[in-house]
Amino acid sequence: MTTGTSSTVLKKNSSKGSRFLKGFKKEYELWLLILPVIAYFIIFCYIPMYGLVIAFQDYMPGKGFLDGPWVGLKHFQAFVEGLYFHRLVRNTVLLNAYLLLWGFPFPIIFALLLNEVKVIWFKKAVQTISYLPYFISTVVICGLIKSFLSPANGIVNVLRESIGLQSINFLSKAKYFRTVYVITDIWVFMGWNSIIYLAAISGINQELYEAARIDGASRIQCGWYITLPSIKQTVILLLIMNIGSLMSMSAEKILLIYSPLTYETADVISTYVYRSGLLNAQYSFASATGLFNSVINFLLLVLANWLSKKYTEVSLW
Amino acid sequence: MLCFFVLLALIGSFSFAFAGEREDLLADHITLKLMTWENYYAGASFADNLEVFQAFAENQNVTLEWELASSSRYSEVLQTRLAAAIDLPDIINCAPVQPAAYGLSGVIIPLEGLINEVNAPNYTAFLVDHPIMSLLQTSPDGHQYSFSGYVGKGEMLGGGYGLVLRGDWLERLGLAVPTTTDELYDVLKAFKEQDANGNGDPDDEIPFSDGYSKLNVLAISFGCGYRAGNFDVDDEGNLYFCCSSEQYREFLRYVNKLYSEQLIDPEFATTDDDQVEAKEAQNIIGGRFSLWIDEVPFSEQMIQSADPDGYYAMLNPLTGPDGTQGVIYSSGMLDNAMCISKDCKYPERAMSFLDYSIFNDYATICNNCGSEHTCWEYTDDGSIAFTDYVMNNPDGLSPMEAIRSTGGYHTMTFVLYAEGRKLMNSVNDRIVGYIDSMAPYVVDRLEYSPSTDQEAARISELNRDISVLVDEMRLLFMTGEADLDADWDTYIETLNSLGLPEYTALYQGKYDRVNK
Repeated sequence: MTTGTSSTVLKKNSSKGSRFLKGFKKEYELWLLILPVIAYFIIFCYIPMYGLVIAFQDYMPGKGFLDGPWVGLKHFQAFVEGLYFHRLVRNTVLLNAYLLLWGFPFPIIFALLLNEVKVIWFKKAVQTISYLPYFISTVVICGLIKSFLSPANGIVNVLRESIGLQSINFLSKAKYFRTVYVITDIWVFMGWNSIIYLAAISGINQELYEAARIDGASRIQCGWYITLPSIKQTVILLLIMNIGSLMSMSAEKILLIYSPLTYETADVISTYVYRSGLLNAQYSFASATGLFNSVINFLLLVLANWLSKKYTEVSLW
Repeated sequence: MLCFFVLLALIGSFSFAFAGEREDLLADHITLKLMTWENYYAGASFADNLEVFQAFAENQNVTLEWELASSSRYSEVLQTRLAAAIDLPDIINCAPVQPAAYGLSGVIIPLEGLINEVNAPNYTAFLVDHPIMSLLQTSPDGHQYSFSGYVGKGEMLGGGYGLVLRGDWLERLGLAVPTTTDELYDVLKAFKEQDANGNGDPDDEIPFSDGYSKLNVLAISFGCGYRAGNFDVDDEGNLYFCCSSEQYREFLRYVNKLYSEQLIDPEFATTDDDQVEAKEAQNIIGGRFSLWIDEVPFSEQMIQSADPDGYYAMLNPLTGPDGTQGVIYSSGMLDNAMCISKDCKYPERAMSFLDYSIFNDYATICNNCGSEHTCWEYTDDGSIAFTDYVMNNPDGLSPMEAIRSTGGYHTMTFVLYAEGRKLMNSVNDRIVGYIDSMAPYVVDRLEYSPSTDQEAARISELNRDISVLVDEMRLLFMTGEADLDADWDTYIETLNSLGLPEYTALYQGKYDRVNK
């Protein structure tokens, strides 16, 4: 708010450019701090974008980015008219929607619960253990998933058999794929994602709790009426950003645990791009598919931001 | 043998006539950079200047540098490098890609202008005996972009049929080694129902365990041949797509029967070699594929850690239900393709290096048998004998591992030296017996000419969805998720709607160019 008022004051007696320069001079340390981040985005996100032109060409390696024959929207058309278009979009959207629906609340609930734990060593131990999977590489995680779910001697099926249930071959049934994916994702990311909420919680003024307790509020009421509303902004911001990445599913984990048996629910746009682009060397087609994905992604982000602005007054821009 | 001496004499006369020019060519010491995937023997990286390549480098007066990636990631790394086409190594192993496409856009250079008696004396001599190689390696656009190795007609590259079953389990249950697919079914059934591993628990055996894609070997016994990649050819010389044939359907029905009666590992869709090996060590699997017969002793080490008497019986190709005899394909021209990149500063020297390292007779022995002195010595009659380093390795390496530790049996292309392979395997009597018993079943694979640029582009476009459908439906049919009676026609219709007729016609064209 303060920067807003000072800039309106400045507006009266100076042009836009000199105002920026003045601000820059005054706050150059801040600009220096953010410089690496800006450089990162320019170098790794914006500059490589020129390569997208190959989505509109029949790209030939060695001929460069501008000398391939231009083919307009041919590759987009081929993707949209392809046999698997509907399945790919459906799988991408559904898998991410489930991930958001189930995966998003867990870190919040976990942070709220952890905040209530008063035994410090126990709290620390739980926190550390819950971060742990985040630091294990995806390949190892997927190896663990495979061995946990093995129908012969995986721990899940051993437990199922010990209580008299049939052993299930989870990874070769298409109907279990999303469940497996979402649950393991929660397991890996819950602890790590809760850090930001814990940080937000620790910033809440303790006097609010004291006042509430004097008024006779229970612990649950304190959580519901003080903690949750206080971290609302953080929650909504993260929600918008999660919606923004709704379509940008990373392919690694899926590639490691899917098989043709589970393509029906597991094959998403990014795995398809991987197979057609890197394995079959159809660079142009893969770029077109990837671009299609990113555009939808961007539209979702704009939509989520607009909705949030309208209903909660929190927004990215 | 006579032929060998004639060849020697030929080479001799060539080298004599062009000796002066050749000396000039090799006069300057230069550096050549090679790109391929890493040695299969993890203990020795090519980057360590292994003895075999040291010998090649000395002969060619070069220093070798390497750009390496692991075998599983090589295809990705290579395609990324070729797509960027910047600062490429001089010599590239293009095995995973179609060199012609990259030749057309100029990433790799045509070789035919470089092939002459000065740059490539060994290859020129090789062509005298194998004229077909020139045709096979020439793209329809008239250029040759790559060098491929060669396996003599009717020779196996040690691979063979690959189906192995626990010999000690067969003995325990009083069963004979199966020779037909029906007998195989009976054996697996017995493994399942009885206490085949003899630990007192009749329920812990998995009769057969391996990745699903390897099961295609069995399809040959059902008359679905794969003699030409995904295609086979009928009596009139017309190609047909294997995975949509009636024979293939019968094969799927057979596998589905095995799967539904739990005679193959329920994890066969996702399993990898590590998991299979882990189960071998638990002494619970009754059979697997071991596509390199030389590696059977390694698998046996795994099972012997659990059961000292365990061993694998190796199967000959099985006879199918309608009497079709299974066969083994010899390799002919290998898919491996060595190319020279546009960034190579000394194309003549790169050509000379390829020529020597692939087609020279001494190099062939090194490629197959490892380095002279460490791995083998010449005997008085001009053949070779392996040293103890290979046959009785002090560190316990298998013969193949020992050879690979010196740079032999590397990942680039070479010509098979069948005698060396036999000699190496002579350390194990059972493998010798097996290879002898397989010999009558070996037939030649069918050859295609390389794709034109348009063909390659169209094939890869069509293959995009066809391969997904085939791969997916194969597993769904095998596991019974899709019904072989109710869903088969839809499967065929979908294949046709994805352009299967055009796909087949394209391959027919490639096939006709070589065979008509």
